[in-house]
Amino acid sequence: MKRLLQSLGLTVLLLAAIIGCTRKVHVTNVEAGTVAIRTTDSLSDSATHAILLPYKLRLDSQMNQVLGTVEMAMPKETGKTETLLGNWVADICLVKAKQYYRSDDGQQPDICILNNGGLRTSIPQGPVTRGKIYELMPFDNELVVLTITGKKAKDLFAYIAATGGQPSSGFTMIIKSDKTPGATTIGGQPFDENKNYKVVTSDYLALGGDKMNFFNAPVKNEVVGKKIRDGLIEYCLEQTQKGLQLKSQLDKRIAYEN
Amino acid sequence: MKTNRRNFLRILGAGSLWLSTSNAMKAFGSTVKKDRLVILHTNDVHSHLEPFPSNDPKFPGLGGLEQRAALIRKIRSEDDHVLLLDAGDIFQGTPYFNLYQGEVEMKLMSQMGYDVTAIGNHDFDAGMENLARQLQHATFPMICANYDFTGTPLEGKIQPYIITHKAGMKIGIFGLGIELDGLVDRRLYGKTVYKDPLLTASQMVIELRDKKKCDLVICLSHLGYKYESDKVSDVVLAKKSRGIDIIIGGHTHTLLEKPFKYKNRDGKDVVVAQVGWAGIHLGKIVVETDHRSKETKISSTSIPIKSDVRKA
Repeated sequence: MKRLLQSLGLTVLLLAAIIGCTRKVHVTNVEAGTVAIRTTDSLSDSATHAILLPYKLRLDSQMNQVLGTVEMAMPKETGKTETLLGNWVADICLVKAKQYYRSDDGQQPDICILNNGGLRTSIPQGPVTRGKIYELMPFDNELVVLTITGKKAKDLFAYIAATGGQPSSGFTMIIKSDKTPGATTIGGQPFDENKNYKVVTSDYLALGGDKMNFFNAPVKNEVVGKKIRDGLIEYCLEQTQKGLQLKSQLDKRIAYEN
Repeated sequence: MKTNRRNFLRILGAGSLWLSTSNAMKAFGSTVKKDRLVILHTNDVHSHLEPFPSNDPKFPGLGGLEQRAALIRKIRSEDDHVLLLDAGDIFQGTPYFNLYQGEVEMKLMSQMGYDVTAIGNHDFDAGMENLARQLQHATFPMICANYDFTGTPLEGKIQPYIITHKAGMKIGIFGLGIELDGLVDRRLYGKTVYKDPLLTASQMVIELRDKKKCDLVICLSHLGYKYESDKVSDVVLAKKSRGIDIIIGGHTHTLLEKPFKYKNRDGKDVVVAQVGWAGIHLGKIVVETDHRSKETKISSTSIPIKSDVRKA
């Protein structure tokens, strides 16, 4: 037994399971562990390889296109008020929403909020492919612009503070020690509870995803006509055309009070 | 004696120790036939069929379905009685799903010999008609006991549980899914009705343990490991249920390098396991059974080993 486990490189914990004697079979012990799967192990399996290959070739022909070069790795991280990845995606969404949104009242989108859970993988430093952007944003979520009241916006900021930050753009906010919002500015101006705001987000969140209830019954719900993923891909190509690398930075847009 | 068995369970930090009730040593004798069931499990693979690239900031070179298949094949060559399970969110996460809607995942998991899987919230992502269509590529069933699919494209296609015989045991495996409201677009789950997981679990235990006389009851769950709130989770289920031996979970992408055990309502141990996401880890649980002894031996040990799989 031990030899087998050692040979597989396991971290193992033997656990016991106590089973009542009314059963005809007795479980004498339960042990468990995990096995890390590494490509360097050069494990291969011809049967699954044969199934995967035709799909992979067709996929690679569409997804291996390099869209640009990432200056610094943007890991998917949790438990932080802001992340390189969250800032990058939210900033691009706000830029793309402003570019494509046709306002009927002259008011442009003010802010963008997404959800940490919706960013699905890390972006490595170096060349980034179309496929990697699909992994970051596999969902076909559409950019939407919601016009919400100041009162609802207050709930939005309370949500961000309570959850310790979400991918955000267009505003700065202090989170107080009791996890409630402190000083908040939108486009450089103090947040005004008596004003309506235009918020860029995904249709998933607008329709009740992640229980962002402040998006229920908005003043207006307008579709931008651009998928988030397509906006990201478009942005990467634009930057590359300009001869620029893709980069993000932490700027304390959301921060805990000292 | 029954009481002794029930009261006795110790997890030791390191090393190993056999504890026994009065006649246990007799049971440990060489005349006793013992069987080994190896349960292998994944969760939240999210269409990650290829390994992460070597420059990934968090998982360089890890994962990969072909690598997993090879490892499973190796384990099968060494153990006769293997159960291969997945706790849901098979779909969504790489262009494989965007381009092929789950067809490749289903075909590959069938080839690898998955026995049964739970249903994750992301398995709804291309709609229920799509999931029903992709199930045609699967040789394994998907199970869920607390979604009522009546009047949906999945009606009649998802069973609450399966029963299988391995290693001399009758094994009942039932599925539990997470609350869909606020998690899955309503248009995707349509008329699916979510039922209370705790109540459903107790009904499943009556069915599997009492009526069908299963020796081992496993819950394949996509509820999530645990939450700060009082939201139902695998840990909540473990503590508030009775009659479940093992909960294999998913959803929260929690990597439990070793599964945790919790006391259920009867004070018995429930093993709760989950292995991260994206097929980076394979979970392994070994259940040893004793066919003759009326005694239950209790053993616990932890063996941290860092040998290289390449040398295997």
